[in-house]
Amino acid sequence: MLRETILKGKHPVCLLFFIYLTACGGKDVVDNRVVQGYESGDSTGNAIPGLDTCQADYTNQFVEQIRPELTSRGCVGCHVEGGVAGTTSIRFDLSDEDLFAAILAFDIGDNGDHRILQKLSGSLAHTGGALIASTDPFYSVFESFLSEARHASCSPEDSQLDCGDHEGLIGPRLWRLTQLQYENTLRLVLGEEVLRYATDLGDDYPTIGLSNTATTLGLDLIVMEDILTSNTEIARHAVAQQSDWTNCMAAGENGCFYNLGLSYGTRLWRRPLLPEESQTLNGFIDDLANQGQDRESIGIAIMEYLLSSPNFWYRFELGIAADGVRELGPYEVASLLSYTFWNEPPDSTLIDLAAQGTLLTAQILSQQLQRLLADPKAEVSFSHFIRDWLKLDGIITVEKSGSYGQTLTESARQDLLASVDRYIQVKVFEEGADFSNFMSDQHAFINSNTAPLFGLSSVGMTQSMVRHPVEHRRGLLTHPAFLSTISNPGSTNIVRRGVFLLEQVLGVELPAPPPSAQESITLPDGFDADTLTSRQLLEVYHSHRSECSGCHNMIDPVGSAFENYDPTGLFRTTEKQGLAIDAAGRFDAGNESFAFDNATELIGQLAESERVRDHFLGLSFAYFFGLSSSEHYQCETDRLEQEFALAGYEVRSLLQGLSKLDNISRRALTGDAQP
Amino acid sequence: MKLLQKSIDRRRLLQNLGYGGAFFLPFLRSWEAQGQSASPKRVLFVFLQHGWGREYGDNDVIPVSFDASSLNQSGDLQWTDQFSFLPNRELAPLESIKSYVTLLDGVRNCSYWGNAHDVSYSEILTATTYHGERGSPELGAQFPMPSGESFDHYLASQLGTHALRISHRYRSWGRSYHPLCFERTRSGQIIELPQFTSAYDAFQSLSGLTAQSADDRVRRGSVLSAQKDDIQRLMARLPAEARPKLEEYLNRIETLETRLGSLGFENLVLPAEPSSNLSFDPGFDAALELVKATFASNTHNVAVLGLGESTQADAFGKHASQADFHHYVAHYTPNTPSRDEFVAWVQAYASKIAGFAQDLATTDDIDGQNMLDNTMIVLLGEVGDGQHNRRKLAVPIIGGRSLGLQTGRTWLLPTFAPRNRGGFFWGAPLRSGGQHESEINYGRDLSLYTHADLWTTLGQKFGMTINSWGHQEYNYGALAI
Repeated sequence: MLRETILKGKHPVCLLFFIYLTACGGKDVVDNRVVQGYESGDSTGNAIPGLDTCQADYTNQFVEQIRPELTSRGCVGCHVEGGVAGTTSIRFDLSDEDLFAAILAFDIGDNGDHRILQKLSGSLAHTGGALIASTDPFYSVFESFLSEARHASCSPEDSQLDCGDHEGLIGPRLWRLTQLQYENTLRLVLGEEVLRYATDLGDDYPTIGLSNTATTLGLDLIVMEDILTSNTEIARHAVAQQSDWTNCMAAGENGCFYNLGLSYGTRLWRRPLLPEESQTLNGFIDDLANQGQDRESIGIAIMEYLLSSPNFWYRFELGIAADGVRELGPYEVASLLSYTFWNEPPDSTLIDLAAQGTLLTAQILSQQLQRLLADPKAEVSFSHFIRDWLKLDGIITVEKSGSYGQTLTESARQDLLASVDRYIQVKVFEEGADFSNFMSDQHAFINSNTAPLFGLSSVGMTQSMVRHPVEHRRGLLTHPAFLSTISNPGSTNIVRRGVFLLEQVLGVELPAPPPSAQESITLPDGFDADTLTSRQLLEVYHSHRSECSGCHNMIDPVGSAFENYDPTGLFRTTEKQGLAIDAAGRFDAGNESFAFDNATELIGQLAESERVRDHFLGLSFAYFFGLSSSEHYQCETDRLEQEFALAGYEVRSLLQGLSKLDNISRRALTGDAQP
Repeated sequence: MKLLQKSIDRRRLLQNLGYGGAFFLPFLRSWEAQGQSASPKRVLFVFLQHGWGREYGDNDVIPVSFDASSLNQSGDLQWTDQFSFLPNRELAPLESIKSYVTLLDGVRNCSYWGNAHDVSYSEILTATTYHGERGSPELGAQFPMPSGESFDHYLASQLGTHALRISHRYRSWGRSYHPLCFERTRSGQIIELPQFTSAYDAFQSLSGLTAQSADDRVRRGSVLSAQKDDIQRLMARLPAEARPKLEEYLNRIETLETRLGSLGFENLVLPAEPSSNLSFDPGFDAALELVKATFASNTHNVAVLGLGESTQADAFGKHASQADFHHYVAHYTPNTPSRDEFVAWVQAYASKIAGFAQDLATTDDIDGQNMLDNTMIVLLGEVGDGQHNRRKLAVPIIGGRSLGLQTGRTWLLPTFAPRNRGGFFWGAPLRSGGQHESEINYGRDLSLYTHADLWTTLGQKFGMTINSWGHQEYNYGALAI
């Protein structure tokens, strides 16, 4: 719905978050409500939203009835170019259509009030004073006109689903920067050198699920303590090395420090400081000076203040309540776009557009989304999602014992991850790469460090693409990085592999194990552990415990399918010194049935599975919007599915699809539904 | 702007802040908070994965002469001083200090559902988890969110001191520490408390507090104070859904500000700096040294140590081939060599604890007693043994004579049979209201007393006026020990 509304200008409030310099006020104070997205304000931007076809129906009434009355009431005295209010968006030297559109865009206040009427009646600050009393007959005429024009609705012209009543929107929230986003922010604002002082945020990564969920990302006390320490080091470095700081220290004027604080604040907080924050900064500098702190300490303290603020650590997605929804402000959207698709703070283009108030216009927003998605950084961002989905980063730290540990050297681990990235780059972002192929392609990228793990001989240090026999490997699910990560240090772990595949790939929700699940049991008489495969042992154990068999009838076949891969992912046909591996199995998941002789057959079926594809899509939505699941956002994921299908399930189309969702620039009024 | 003062006057603080002032109590010097009491009161909780190894049904420590048959469901407690740890191999190292030991045999977990670890990590110190909650958005899929603070935090708050939490090389269920500890913010939100995952990290933090120059402390105080101003203004504007994150942030800022301004750390004498990559043995020693140092200087009166070796090759040479202590050692199989391996590990831990206790017993405290008499060392686990025993977990408590423990005793806590439970409810509340009786299988009996009762008991020993802990469903009553 967002896309429609922006394209049609149906919700002009989307276009309003301009830097608010009051019409006849000073230019050095930024309206706090506009910056934070608490309230729309007047505009100095030149961009004027267009009318949609339904609103245009009201143009005649505007021209014949409203405009002449406003002109006669004196608005034209100030609201023309060169006039006292000539820098605002509402100018009577504009065309009828543009003035009408500007008034509609300006009109919606915090509580759905008609702001322009509030200005005209003097209940909202207006340099021109009260021009129309609320008892004036024209007041009610204008009010009715605005209400009708505002709520004019057009039928959808394209096939996109209309979620109606803002279904599928995430609630207002704060979302902490991830480790990568934190480091990228430091690097881009303060330089590469400060990264050596960056704090390890110590986030726990769930073995199943996603790692960047807004509800779980926080800052614990120990990390906060570390942050304060590292902030001091970062600040010392910046103040000592960067010329603007050294110049300021040489000048020794508090005003210089203040201006630098505002400047760095805008970059580190991704928005200008609010007036009261500017006052806090000013008072803070004065207090430090009064304490007798030297100039260097004042500079350090300013940087510490900016870096230890929640405005640095959190992305604010609050928006302004209007018409049953929260429209995000331009700076909020700038951060959302940039961190979502690039894992970086907004660049100067986005910040400038937000400051000009034009970012949220339909055309510019669309242009900016295309610019972001066309950049290779968007591909990297998507790679991070896939790495998180399959927990592939675990290859760097997963413990391996004995010979497995010797095989999985540090350089091999790094190169396996590089191999994964290369695979994603080719199998996701190359023209025509669809989901099925991404899941089941027989190619992999190897080099001399990783070749032994693929059972191949050395091919040099460059990542080279090789094609595996179809019965050996297909896609990332048979990649050593994945298989190593979901194995034990010295054994494969059928159950762990099965549970992961079922829950994370197939989207099956398994119940909690029964209380007795981990009580050790003795192998029944007549069985010898040395002569049974791992799979046979499990079958013996689970068949003797009725409370286990329900789930394990599903878990064990899936996990066993991957028994052809040892704890480092090396292909094998036997285990335990010669016991032949049986990887065949069958199971049902929902209304889909799977029957296979080995893992690659299973992968072929998973690649065609609607259930798997839907779960992947749902997880991509959850990942990019920081949710633990997509469960409560059916309408949005349906729309994403529609885009996905229209694109022939090209994986990269998901990025385009995500960029068109309402959640890019809106939030629900409340967050009741979000997990 | 009000700048941070270098010290905080407790009386003035309480006067100014009223009820909210209690929040600051954990961070004031212990001697201030404890008022006229000359004797420090301290506790070290030591959590070992899978507990201290006494399998349910082992009655090795109960001497033959002990008449267990006289126990009944009325809750009468009986004790004996004729006990020996020697037949119970895991705890054999405690034999040398058994005159300092109070052995509770044993308490049960509050609840019984799920996998036991996951629930227990959130439950054991809080007794406020709800039935059927496997995980939570805040803590992840394995850990339910309790509705109350943890006992360690409560004690530290009441004693007016800090709690030092170090999980020594533990990893399971995606966590690198255990058990989970929680505090309640002023607005009633429950948030998880952090833990150091190495002695090195703990040392760095503590040394940072002792080493800050006066100028640094003042400057940092100003920074934190400015943050508070901004956050409080910002908070007023946020919709309710977005506030918890900022509230948590504010809580951190206030804690750090208060910690920065609290007295005591300048008196902290730290041991030598531990290496950042210590192997198990010296790493454990370093953690215990930090506990002793903070106890001795009264910067901390509560410590939580989570144990569970998880690295290779160096762990007493006992399990060089496996990296996962939890699944490869703690999950032993009865009557197999794997049990012997677990025994060896627990013995190694118990030996360290015994040595630490002896060290405290020979160190003079500020009140003229030895440090062990003023200190309880409570040995715990989220389950009782490799078989996930949750019915009757042995809890050895070492020291604490001046806190009222009559040491050198073992207490056999009464049990009751689920099939003949005589009106006792065992189960848990539901978050939505009501109660749910546990799905525990009915084959064996279980202890009448829970961890909740243990905390009530210890709280009373520490002079707190509490009669229960956590959810009422988990309480039977204080132990008359």
